[in-house]
Amino acid sequence: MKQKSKTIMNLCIVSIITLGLVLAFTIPFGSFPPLGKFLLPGEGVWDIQDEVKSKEILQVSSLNDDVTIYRDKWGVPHIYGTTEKDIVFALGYVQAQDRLFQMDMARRITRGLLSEVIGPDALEVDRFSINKLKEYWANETLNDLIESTNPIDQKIYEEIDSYSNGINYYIQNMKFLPLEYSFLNFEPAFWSPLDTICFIKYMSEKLSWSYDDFNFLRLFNALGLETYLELFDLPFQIPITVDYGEYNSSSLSMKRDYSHIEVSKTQEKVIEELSNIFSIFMNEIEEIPGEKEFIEERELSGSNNWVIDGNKTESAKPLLSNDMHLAHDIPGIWYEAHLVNPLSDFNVYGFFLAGVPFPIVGHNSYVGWGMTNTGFDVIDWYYYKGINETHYWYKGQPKAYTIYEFEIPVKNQNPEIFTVKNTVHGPVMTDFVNTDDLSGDLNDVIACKWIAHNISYETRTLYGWSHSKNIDDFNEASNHFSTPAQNLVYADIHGNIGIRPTGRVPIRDDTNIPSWHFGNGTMPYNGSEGNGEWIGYVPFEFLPFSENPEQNFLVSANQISAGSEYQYHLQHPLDVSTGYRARRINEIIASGENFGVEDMKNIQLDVYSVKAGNFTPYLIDVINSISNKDTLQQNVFDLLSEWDYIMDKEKSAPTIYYLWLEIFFEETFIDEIAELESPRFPHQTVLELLTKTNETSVWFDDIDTPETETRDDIILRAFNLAIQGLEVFFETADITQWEWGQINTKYIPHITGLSALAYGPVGVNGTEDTVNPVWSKSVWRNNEVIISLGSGGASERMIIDFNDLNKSLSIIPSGQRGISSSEHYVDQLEMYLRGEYHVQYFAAESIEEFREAWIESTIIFEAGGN
Amino acid sequence: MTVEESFSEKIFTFVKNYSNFIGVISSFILALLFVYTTIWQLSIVAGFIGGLFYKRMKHGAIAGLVGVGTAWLIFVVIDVLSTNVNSLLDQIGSIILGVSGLGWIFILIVILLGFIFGVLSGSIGSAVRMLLKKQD
Repeated sequence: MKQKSKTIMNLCIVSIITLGLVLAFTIPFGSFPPLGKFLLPGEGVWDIQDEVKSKEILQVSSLNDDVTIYRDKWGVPHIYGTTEKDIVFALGYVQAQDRLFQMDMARRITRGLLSEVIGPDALEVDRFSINKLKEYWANETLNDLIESTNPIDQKIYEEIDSYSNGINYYIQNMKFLPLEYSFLNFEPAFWSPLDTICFIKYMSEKLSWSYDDFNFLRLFNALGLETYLELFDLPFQIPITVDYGEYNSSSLSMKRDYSHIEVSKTQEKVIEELSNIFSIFMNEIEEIPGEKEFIEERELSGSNNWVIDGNKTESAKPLLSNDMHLAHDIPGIWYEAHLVNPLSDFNVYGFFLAGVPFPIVGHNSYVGWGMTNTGFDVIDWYYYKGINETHYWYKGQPKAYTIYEFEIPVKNQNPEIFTVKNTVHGPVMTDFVNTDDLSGDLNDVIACKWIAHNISYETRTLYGWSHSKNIDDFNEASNHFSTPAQNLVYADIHGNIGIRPTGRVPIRDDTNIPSWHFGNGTMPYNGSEGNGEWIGYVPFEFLPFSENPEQNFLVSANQISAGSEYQYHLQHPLDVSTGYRARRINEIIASGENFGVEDMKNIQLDVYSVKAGNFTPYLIDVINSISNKDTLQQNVFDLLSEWDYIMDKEKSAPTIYYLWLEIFFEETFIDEIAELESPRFPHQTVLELLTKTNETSVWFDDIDTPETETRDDIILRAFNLAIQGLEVFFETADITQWEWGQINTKYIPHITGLSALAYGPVGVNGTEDTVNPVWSKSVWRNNEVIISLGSGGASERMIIDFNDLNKSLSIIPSGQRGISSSEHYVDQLEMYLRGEYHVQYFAAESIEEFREAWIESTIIFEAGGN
Repeated sequence: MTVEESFSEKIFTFVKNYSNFIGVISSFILALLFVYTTIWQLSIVAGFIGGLFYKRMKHGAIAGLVGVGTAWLIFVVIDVLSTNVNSLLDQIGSIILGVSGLGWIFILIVILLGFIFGVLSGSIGSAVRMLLKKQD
């Protein structure tokens, strides 16, 4: 009996310990998922397949014919099938195999479905995302596509559907969940065609959603007309299209004659009141995760593309280059793939968004195309006098809001019903602002009208580009492109080149706007008065373009679209790049001949700073004028005098120049900008203009001192601050150790923000305005040098050689596969940082031509089976 | 004596003679099979079944320790050698502990947990057997 009791006692103790351990590894701890689920054998990390199988044969009943996929040594799939529907099924499968988590998160962000997997913490983000109506209009677009009787639309829908089936086939049969799912403790839902259409709206948001109308009005309020025009001028612009004359700087920067702009005392008060309301609005919107990036001032999310025709190439055939600049993430936004139907001439290599079955940029056997962002002004903001929760004033009458209802699924609780109020223009955004802050203001309702709030046909364009055989086909396809508006660069095997800023741009009715208003959608409109209604769009044939120009090349780098002879307003003045990259690319190509692929690489990787070339001589002159230079000043003088303006990470001159310029800029403007309470600093090109043309400009005077400073005083002051700061930061006066790469770094975050899955920081060449850019950040804060942690730049590099398409090159700053233990996780990123490219194996137009040596893995989809 | 009785007796005798090994082997085989399911908790069952072959908790614990622990050890070693799982564990270490390069600690912890689960579940198996036997 005693023995039995002892056994029971022991059993109880052991069972309790066992139970405790099992529970400890089974239940989640706070934000940590159950440890056993991803750490213990049987699940999680032990199941994850780093790489895809070397050979896989799958039977799929829905396919018409067999499909073969070869992945090359970079993991890029080359997909061979006899129908495009089958090919995109396979594309969906391989994209899901490589990028499932990324695809899943992108659609959740766009559709407001984060709360479903994260819980109530993500509700505010979801509500705001839904309020932007991306999903609503994606749904409308999809329904339009489904109901369309246009045979091309029907084909497009069939392909999107087949592509979705490919993704879902993978989800149904997948053998493991990527690590991120284990951490966040959820599983992927099936893909739908709506998810694909949402990607278009997602990209439109990334590239065209803007709060600059508010900034413009606040600037106008702070600076007044004259000062605004001086400080926000756009000097040194070289228009993208070459057939509309030169760009005449500020006098026509907004296609308006400013002479009528008058501001009475009463109007000044109105502007100030509006400015205050908008400041409150912006401050609160900035707190919503993800919105800050749309509000922060930075060099326009830009890109480079250019084409050179046969008269300037060594092969006498065109060359096309494109590198689109976006925020970097791991995995990167682009997914490379090569799609081939050997029975037809469908053979296309391109950069896809993981989630879309058509290439965004790329080439087929006939034509190639690339993109840069236009900065077209396609979002307008309206303010209204609200009446109550259900009505607002519109053209003298109470008008009821239109209500859309959405259900937001929330993890571990009941779904939330969320309503979006709409005015005649678009969704009301002031519901996200604490209304107490706006109480007492008559104009307490703010809504927006955005180009993406439409049924749109970008899929026709993407499909059309893939199938274009000549410039007419390409233009016909481009005609359907709505948003996000892009500078489309084009070349073909027939020898044509072209550039076409493309997208739908609204024309506003500005007949009744107040005399102080700049019109053209540059400032918020009085919605209650019916100001600034969209009355049409700039017709495609009236958008600026250039084809086969006499100069034999075309360049876009987010600069001004067209010269002074062009008649329509297209770009928001605050959304035009300063133009340094465009100046450099134009200069190199205009002065060169016999360009080849190697030259294209050299331009894409170029880190010569036009800005440094224009500013540094003034610094050198000032240092030279110091009568008793100390050793440090002399060393810096010697170094800068010999510098070639290359922003090389291993050199010290870029460090000194960059920091000096940042301080020079700040010391020039911060006194006045602070006093005027301007929400923004001027463009750096304006400082360049002042430095070159007006050394006694009032802007150089420091209003906080009794003396009157000139340009050279401020240059010297900035120089001394810079070298003192660098000496402290590097803890040495040995300037050879002040390497640019020590403070100019690049960090590539993982899409979850988990630092363990990120890359860097690593020291890099370049700055935000070199052709090869890094989105550098400030290196000077509170009179101390700090490290810039840039996280953006070229999101892909592509060079297309129309003499031999097989010599075309690519690279992305991540890898094809989003699995963090895969060799293709960051393999291309490492090549990218070394300035390397990979070939595209485009010449393999049939399975037989795809050489054994190129194959890393194979998937064969056999038509038939279950 | 029927043929069936004779066979049963032989099995019984075999089990009786080799119970020391059968418990270990069965928990080992089961644990090895169960790591290919998605339910890691089944390792407890493997140890428990191994423990049932022993009349003393100490022996059951050893059987579970050797059976489950060795199965997990082999599984982990093969996986570490043939895949890139150590880099994944490094990343997990970095996420949880904030320090990189500690993936090996997780590998050791997993192996250790295999032995611990084996000891505990083997003990429970033999204790249950002892209780059932005494009731008989």
